[in-house]
Amino acid sequence: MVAGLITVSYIGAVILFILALGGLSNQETARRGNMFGIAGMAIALF
Amino acid sequence: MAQVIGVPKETFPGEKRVATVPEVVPKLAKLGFRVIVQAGAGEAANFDDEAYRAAGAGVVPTASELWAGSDIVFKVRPPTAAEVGLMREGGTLIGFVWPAQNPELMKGLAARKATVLAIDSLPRQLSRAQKMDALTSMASISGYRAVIEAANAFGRFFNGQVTAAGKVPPAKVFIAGAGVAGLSAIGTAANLGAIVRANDTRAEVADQVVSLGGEFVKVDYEEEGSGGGGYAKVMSEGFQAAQRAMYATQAREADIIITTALIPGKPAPKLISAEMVKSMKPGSVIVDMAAEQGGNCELTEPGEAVVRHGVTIIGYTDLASRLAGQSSTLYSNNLLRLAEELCKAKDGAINVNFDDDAIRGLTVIKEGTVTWPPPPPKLPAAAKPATKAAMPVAVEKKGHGHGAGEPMAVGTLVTMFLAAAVLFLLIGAYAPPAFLGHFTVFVLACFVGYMVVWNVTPALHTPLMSVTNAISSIIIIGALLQISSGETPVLVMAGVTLLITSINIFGGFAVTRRMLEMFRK
Repeated sequence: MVAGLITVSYIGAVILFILALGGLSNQETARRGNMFGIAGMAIALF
Repeated sequence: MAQVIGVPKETFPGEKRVATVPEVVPKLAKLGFRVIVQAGAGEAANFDDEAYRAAGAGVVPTASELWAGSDIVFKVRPPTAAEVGLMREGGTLIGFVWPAQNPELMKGLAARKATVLAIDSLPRQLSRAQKMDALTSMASISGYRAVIEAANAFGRFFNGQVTAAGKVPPAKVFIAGAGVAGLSAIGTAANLGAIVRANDTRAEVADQVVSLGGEFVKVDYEEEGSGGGGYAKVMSEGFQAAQRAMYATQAREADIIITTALIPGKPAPKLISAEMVKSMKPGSVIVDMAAEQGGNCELTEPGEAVVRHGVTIIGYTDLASRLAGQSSTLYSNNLLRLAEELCKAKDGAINVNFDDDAIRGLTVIKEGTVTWPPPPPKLPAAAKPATKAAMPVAVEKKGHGHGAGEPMAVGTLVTMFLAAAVLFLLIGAYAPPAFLGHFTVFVLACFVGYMVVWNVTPALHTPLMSVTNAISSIIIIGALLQISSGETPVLVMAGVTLLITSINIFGGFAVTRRMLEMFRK
């Protein structure tokens, strides 16, 4: 079960990273994107 | 020995600008100069004498006293013969002089043993010279003002709207010439919501036009329009005929035409004929920014706005002067930057140093000797290949698409797909199963990455670099996995990796956040 959770959290991190880069398409969403990136990295590490 | 900078009131009829503003006076004083202004010099630009006094400048009642009391005179328009007579022998003059168009003035100034720096002779290609480029600062103001004057004379909205009282079509604006003034006009008109099209003989400005929100209209003729120094040149008869055809088509459709086409030292090219004016819809407006050099439209009356065949043709020659406060401030800054270059020692004395390319180009008379035209400045090597690159840019590009949205030619596409199919067949047949799983992820990652990164707006490319730097440090996971290994070299490497990637992650996101904060509107 733990292995499954780990995989899912990696997927979550990936989604957040992609959203982070996507957020850069627009100045309004850019700062939100940066937050997503930080969150993604945190999840991936833990 | 502190030299005195004098700023007279401009005598040219209708000139409202002044060569220095109260805001800049203390900065000139910091360089060691004393500043005096003629009483009422800044009045037409809404800078009163009290403001100058408060900034530390002396106020002198008459023109003759000002000219006699100044070592250096800052001016906007070229001096008249009378003003040259008031000038001190051996004094310095800095301002617009137009040496090619004013040989008499040059002779008069040389006779006074003056040192003259013509701000219009600045070598504009030097990036160091941009802060001193008054032609650019004045042109961008004029371009803006041209759009405002057009909107003032035009009978409809610039932006299209759907209202309860009916649909309002947007204005169609065509801008001839995409130099500083043209680009400024394109930006202003696009910001007001109009549909903007523009043309220039120089092919390399197409990208600049598009980035400001305009559409670049090409002439159906291959010819390189750059005359060197960033200026256009006189084109061949064949090109001019094709150009006239294109302008005629555009004129029929456009509501507003703004012309900015100038060739240094020559009369302005005639782009809009009387026939084209007749073909325009009644109520249309033409703003001819080249009126002072003869005008780009045959029917322009320099200095006035006239109505011909139902079309208002505006030929004002003082567009920058109409925004006197803004133009004077920007012009004063240009001259301040020049003063900084001339007085590097900050001791209140100017040093006309001929080793400096910018100063050499600017100096048209030194102590009575005419030093204009200057030897051509050393062009950077990029200039030559740039003109060659401009040629293929002008030709319709086939298949060189980069970035989302440029369709490729069918032939290239088919060949690429066939090659990919063969490659995939080989991989599928011979690769180990584990590889295929990773390969799937890899391919998907490439496509997703490509789409996402190309969607980033150009303004945000720098934060993009720092955030991808942070995200790429996901390899820290690799280091974390190896940190529990037994062997020392692996441990050491993992440790070093951990250190470096953590810096990358923390620093990358922090720097990106700092950068994005600067974008707050």
